[in-house]
Amino acid sequence: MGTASDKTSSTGATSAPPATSAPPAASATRTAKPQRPPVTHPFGRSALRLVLNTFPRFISILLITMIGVAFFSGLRVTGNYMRANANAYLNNSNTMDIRIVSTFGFDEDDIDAIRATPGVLDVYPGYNANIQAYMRTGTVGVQVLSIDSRSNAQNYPYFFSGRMPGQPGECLAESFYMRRSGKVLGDTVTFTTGNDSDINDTLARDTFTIVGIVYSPLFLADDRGSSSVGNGSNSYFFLLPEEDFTLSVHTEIYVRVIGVQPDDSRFTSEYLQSVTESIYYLEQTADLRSPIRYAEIVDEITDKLYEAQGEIDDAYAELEDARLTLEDARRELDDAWVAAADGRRLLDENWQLLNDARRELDDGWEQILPGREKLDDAWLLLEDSRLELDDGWEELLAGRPLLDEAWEMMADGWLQLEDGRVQLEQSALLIQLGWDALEFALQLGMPKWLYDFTASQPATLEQQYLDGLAEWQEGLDQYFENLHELENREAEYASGLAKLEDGERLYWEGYDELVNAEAEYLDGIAQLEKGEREYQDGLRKIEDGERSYEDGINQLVEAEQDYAEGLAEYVEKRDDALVELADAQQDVDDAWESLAKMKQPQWYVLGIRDNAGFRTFESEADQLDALALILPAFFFLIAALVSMTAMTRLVDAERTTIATFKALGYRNLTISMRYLLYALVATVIGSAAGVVLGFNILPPMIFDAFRTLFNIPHAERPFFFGYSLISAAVAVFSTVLPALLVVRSSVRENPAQAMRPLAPKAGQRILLERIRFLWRNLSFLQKITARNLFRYKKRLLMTIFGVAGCTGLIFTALGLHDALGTLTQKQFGHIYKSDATIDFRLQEGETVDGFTARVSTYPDVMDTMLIYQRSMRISSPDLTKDVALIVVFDPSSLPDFIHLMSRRSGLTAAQSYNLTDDGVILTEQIARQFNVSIGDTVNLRTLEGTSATLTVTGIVENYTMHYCYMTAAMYEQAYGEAPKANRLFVRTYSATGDLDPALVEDPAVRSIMYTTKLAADVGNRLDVLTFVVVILIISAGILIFIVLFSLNTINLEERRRELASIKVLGFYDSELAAYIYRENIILTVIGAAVGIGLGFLLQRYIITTLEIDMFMFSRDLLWTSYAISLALTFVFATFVNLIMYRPLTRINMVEALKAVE
Amino acid sequence: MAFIQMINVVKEYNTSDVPIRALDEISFEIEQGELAIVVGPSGAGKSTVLNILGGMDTADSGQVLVGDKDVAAFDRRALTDYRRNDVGFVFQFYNLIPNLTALENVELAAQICDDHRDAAETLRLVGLGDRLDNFPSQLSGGEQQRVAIARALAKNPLMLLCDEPTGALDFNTGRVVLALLQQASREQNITVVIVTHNLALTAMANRVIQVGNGQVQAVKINSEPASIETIDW
Repeated sequence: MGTASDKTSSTGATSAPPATSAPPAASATRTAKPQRPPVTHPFGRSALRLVLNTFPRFISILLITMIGVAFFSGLRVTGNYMRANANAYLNNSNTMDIRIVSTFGFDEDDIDAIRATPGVLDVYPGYNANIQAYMRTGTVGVQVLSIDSRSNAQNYPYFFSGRMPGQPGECLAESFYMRRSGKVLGDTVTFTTGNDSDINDTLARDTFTIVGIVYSPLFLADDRGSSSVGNGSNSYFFLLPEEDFTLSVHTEIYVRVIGVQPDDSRFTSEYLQSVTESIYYLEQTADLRSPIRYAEIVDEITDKLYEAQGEIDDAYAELEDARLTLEDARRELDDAWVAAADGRRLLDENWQLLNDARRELDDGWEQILPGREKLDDAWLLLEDSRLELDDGWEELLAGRPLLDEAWEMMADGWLQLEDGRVQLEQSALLIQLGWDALEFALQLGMPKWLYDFTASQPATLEQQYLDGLAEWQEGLDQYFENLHELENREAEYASGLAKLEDGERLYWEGYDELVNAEAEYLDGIAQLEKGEREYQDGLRKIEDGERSYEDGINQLVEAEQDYAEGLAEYVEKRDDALVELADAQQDVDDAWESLAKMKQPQWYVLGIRDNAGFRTFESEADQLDALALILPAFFFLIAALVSMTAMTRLVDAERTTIATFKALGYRNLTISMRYLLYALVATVIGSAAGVVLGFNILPPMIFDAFRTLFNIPHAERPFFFGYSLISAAVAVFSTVLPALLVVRSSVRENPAQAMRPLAPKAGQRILLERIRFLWRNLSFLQKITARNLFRYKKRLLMTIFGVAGCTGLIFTALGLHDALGTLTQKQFGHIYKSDATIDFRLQEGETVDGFTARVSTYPDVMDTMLIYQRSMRISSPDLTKDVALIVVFDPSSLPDFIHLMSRRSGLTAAQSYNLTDDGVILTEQIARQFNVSIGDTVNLRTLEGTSATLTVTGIVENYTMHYCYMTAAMYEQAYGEAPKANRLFVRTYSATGDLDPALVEDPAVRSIMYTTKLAADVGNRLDVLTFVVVILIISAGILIFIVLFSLNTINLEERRRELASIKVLGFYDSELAAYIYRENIILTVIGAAVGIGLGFLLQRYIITTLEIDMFMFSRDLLWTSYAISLALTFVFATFVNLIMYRPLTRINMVEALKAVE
Repeated sequence: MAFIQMINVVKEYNTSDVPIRALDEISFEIEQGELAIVVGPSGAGKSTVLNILGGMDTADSGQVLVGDKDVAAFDRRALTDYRRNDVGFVFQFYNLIPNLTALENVELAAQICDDHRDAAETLRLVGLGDRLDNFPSQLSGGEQQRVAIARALAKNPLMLLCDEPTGALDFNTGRVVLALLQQASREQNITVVIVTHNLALTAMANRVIQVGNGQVQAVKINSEPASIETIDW
């Protein structure tokens, strides 16, 4: 007791350093202080101080609890969270409880019967059809459904944008389609039936305007149903107004049942039960309606068949009519030919006559035309004589004026002569007078000179007179001579005139003669011309006749051609028609036969659990539950263990305090409460925080990730009280209970004994020391480390467990990542080597080889292989699954496109398989699901119902989808028909695997599936799981950090004294750290090794739990997973150790060594 | 010049609201090879003196001269070196490593020391030659304290610092331990400083330093220290 008293006195007196050195002791002493005024809750203060003084421990318990609870509660409720959201969606959409389909559709009576069935609350008779929609790359299968437009509509879609169709021709499209097609609201979509049938048999129009983007509660997952057209499966759904369906019967009936409350969960057994009851009643209705409807249909079909038979008979009659009409036409034609020949003959005769007339005319012309010449000559002669006459006249008449002039001149001459004679007589008188005068003058006395002189003149005059008289004489002679001559000329003129008058008479006689001849000639001409005109008329007429004859002939030839065409057409049509009619007859006969064999309508009454989307969602949620059970529980366990350890240590360390309280007279319960409260407060706060964090982070995050696979709005954020209480309770319990146990054993000790420090754990030799050889070779410090490790067995186990947990979780996570991440590479890299698959339908008259050759001409195309792909049902008594059947035409080239090889597992090496005609090769997962092995048989049924039992000759590695491979020969043998190639595998040279865009435009190409796109799709699906994996890794990191940190803190606290002792001995910081680290490193290494093993098992477990239908996860683990998980563990561990370095080297030696625990 | 000189050493603790002055300009000296006893009531500061002298704690001001070195001016590394090679500690509660045998406890100290003694030899010296492979829990308190002394001596220290070495021991066992300490001082010329509140022990010391309220109250030089066998308490 000396030590205790020493302590009490020293602290009590001076509050020297020890007061702060040992918190529990300090608080104990405070409480015991005598001079302190009464405090309301000294014990409570002490408890609070306990928290403050061991704050890191408190916080670490709190945090560990928080993380554990967060993961446990968060992951645990994720499944329910998803279900709650899905359920809210289904209920808000007033989603059907039951869907009924029938092999014959439903008529109004059927619907009334369903309405009248007990338990049925609401009925919506709807339409749906599987058709094709045009996309850029071809057509895809789509399901179109009618919209329930009533106010309490069932299956009300969830709107992203847009509105309900207000009028026919508008439709709703799903968001997935909008994303894929790049269309926007207001764009149109065009449908086709995908086969020979008319779209108008299904829909009122083929093009619709998209007015809303939606989810439908009928399609929670990506299954859009299967189809008998196209590639057999639908990619999208569209919701169309009811009015736009032209189907004669309703194709499906949606039913809501009585007794389901608006907020009931669709995932409960109560719901299932009430629906199952209704299904039972509806099946009764089905049994009732089936024969009635059958009879109606038989009647209807019988009527139709009679009608069809009538049409066939009518068609035969029509054919006969056509034949008779043709015969009449022939006869008419023949008559016409005869008439045409008669006409010819008549024409020929007329030609003869006309030609005779011609000849006569020609003769006439020949005769008459020379007369013309003679006439012309006579005219010429006449003309000449005329000219001569005219010349004679001219000449004669020209002489007249001369004569007249000459006569005039004669008269003038006479006058002149007369004048001359007068003048001469006058001159003679004058001369006489002169001469008398002179003589008288001489006589009178004129001088003689003068006389003489004057006498000369009468002498000259006298002379002149004499000359004049001579000349006049001569003139008179000349006048008479001229007169004579003129009289001669007058005679001549008169004879010329007489001659001319004779000529004139002759001329006019000739002229008259010629005029008569001319008249005669003209008469002949006129007559000939008239004949000529008559001839021309005849010619015209006969030519007209000739033309109309030719026209007639042409018409006849045409008629003959028409007839020939008509005949050919008739013959051709008759053959076709006969074949067609025979076919029709066959059809009718067949129809009769099948009518005889027709089964009663089969109704399928399907609950919501039969909805593919719902089922997929439910199973994913269940898988998540399974995943959420083991992993978070694992976390939780570690967290509980760690906080339990922390609490145990705390209580152990409080021994003396407990003893002191006991000694002071506190009751056991009160003392226990101090620690229980400590644990309670830490864990309750931690749990509350954990629940809040866990609920708010994990479920929304994971659900959002899953929503990439499901079309469910994220509208609800439900809180799960039950789960939060349970996980909090478990967390609190797992910390408080051990505390309680330890406290109990401590408080039961007698105070004196408890107040003494707990004897340090006795050192002891460890097993290793017995192995002398080994032990001796260890260095001194190694020996110490070895002993320390085994000394703190709890810590050893906890650390190993914690580290193992960390490594295990990381390894699991990485392993999952390997399993998922390598999947696409394996599937689309190693197994499927084809870069693209062309879905084709040959054009009219095209051959498969032609198409293949055409594809091969593209420079990118390296290699092609034809296959026939279709959906098949594989079934055993208790399981039915769809598989994709791939029929191979050329098994020898198959290895270039699909690698058929078994998976290497364990010691069994991979084995390649060849496709033979002896049996089929199945992919691994489907084989496992049906528990078949090589040599067993499986039943494979076509969707039409042809079934065959075939031997399995190989089971091959495959990761996505289920496939069944067989040869064409095998297929034909098994199903009785030769397979027709419908797909072409293509390997390309192009880096992206894309094909020439021109190939996409090829009319025979329906669509091209690129392997890269397929791989990306699968990748997206797996990304969701990868996301969960990332969450796991992060949480593992957080967890291991907290665990290691706690353990290290506890270790440090517990060994404070030991470490201080070593420090006092003069260990450097590095040596001191190494002293602790050496242990940690060894524990980490062991833990990591254990963790790898643990992770290996965990990963296997999770893979089998998570593996969803259609995906097989890779079983291979990559070495990187080992490496990374180890590396990350060591990184975490190292990080924690580095954090511990400072507290380690800051250990206060004085305090540590002074304190008595 | 004395081997150990503490000159105006001040140490204050600031952990509480009011600073507590544990050492208030304390000064004293101890000659080499002396067995000095620092005595005083609880809380007088005698343990603080020892801690500062041993390099486990640092002084706020003043000088702590050991030989020609000022320990008060040492940094962490130098202090560690100082503890490692020059100082041997003996505590009231032995502070043996429980997981190591007696021999290993001694070896632990010896193996990090440049100039150390043989561990087994040292244990034989303290009379535990037949308990080498025993764990502390298998030893009595006195035996454990002798192991602690052996651990200190194995380092060949310049001085041996003992904090209430007999505090947890009965009279006879304590006597054996003290005899060992006296022996070390006398035979190996190791300077031994013992802190105790037991005034009866002062008789065996060469020098008694009485401490109170953080100051030296009296120093008594004992020219003829009594042999431990003669002392009774």
